[in-house]
Amino acid sequence: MSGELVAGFEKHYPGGAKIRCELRMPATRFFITVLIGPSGCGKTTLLRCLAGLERPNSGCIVFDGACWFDATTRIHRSPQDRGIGFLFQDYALFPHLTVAQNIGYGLQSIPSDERRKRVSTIMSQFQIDGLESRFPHQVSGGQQQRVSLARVLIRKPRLLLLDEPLSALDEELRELLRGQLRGILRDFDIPVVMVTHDQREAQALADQVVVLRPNE
Amino acid sequence: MDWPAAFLTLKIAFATTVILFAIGIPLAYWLAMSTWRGKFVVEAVVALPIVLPPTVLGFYILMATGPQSVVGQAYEQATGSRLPFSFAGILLGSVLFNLPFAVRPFTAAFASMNRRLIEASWCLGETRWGTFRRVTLPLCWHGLLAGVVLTFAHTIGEFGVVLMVGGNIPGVTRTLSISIYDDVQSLNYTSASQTSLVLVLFSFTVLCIAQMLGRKGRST
Repeated sequence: MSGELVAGFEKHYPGGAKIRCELRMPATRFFITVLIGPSGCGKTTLLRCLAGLERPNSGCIVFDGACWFDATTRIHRSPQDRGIGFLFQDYALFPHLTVAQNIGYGLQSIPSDERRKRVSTIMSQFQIDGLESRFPHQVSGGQQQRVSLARVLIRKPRLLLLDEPLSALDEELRELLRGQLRGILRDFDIPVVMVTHDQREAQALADQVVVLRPNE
Repeated sequence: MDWPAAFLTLKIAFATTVILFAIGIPLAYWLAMSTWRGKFVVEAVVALPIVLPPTVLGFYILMATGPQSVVGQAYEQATGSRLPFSFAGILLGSVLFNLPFAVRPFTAAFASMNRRLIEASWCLGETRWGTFRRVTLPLCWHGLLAGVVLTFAHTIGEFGVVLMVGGNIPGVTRTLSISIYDDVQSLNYTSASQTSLVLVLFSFTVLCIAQMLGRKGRST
């Protein structure tokens, strides 16, 4: 299973409903898997299980030969240990930090000069330079999305998880970014798992589509 | 104005606030974040001093720390002195009695925070402690400070528990509230009204500060 992400697990809800994930995809190169399904079918929960933010009830998750989760041996690696990048639906930008501080947040272990250089480079790449000292509420929705994506990608994650990355934007901007997103992600050459309820988004971005049904 | 009582009151209020900050923050964080089903029991225990008459709490503390009790004997062996009718005794009573007045605002501050921000920090590689330091504290400090201010103010007006556990020993356990009680008992209304006025003005100022901080916290 080296070189692959293999996930087969179940997550139970308190009311008795279950969601099941069966997923296999390349783990060391650019490849987009889109999980598609109606609202409430558990798409975000599956993504959170892959991130380590929630613990599945059974099954296992293996990434490039490393076990991230195994219900039988009770292995559960934390999000910090998995080296993932997670783009939240509402972007989850830190409101008390500037745009530049948000982007550099995950680079505390490197010297500040190098951190500043990397932040500046990625801001140019994402066409958000000039916003360094602004706070998240002072930039537009599209810019917030780019800041959030830059914050995640600057750390060069091993796996990128996107939770409805375009849903918070208006239709016009969504159309524009839908075309650009695949190109941006390809440049970083990492595997991506994305959830959406939008079929056009899935068709435009996916190498592989996994359809989820409610309570499956 | 009974200055030794005023000094003792400030001393106990300061010590109580420091101790409750140290134990209240982790307890409140756990209460705000935990999904454990039995959490309501802990919440009820923390809130108990709000509904319990201070004399009842004081009585149980007195019984639990007396020379015949396990705690009292252990304390006496360790320090050579007794807990009841001492500064340490009234400090213990004050900490227990004021626990909900610190923990509840702290919990409210943590619970009002967007949990996604904490998870985003974890996914960016930051540890739980680092996340608390870099995200949770900066976003919750208004609420935490309001809790600290309220705790301090509430301790200043402490009466029932202090009287039960500490008695009325000048310079050792006599606080401002007990001093007012003494003044009234001895018909010294002038002194009682002066001390009362100081406490009213102090409490009013503190409540204004707490309300202002609370409003500021909600708007950020």
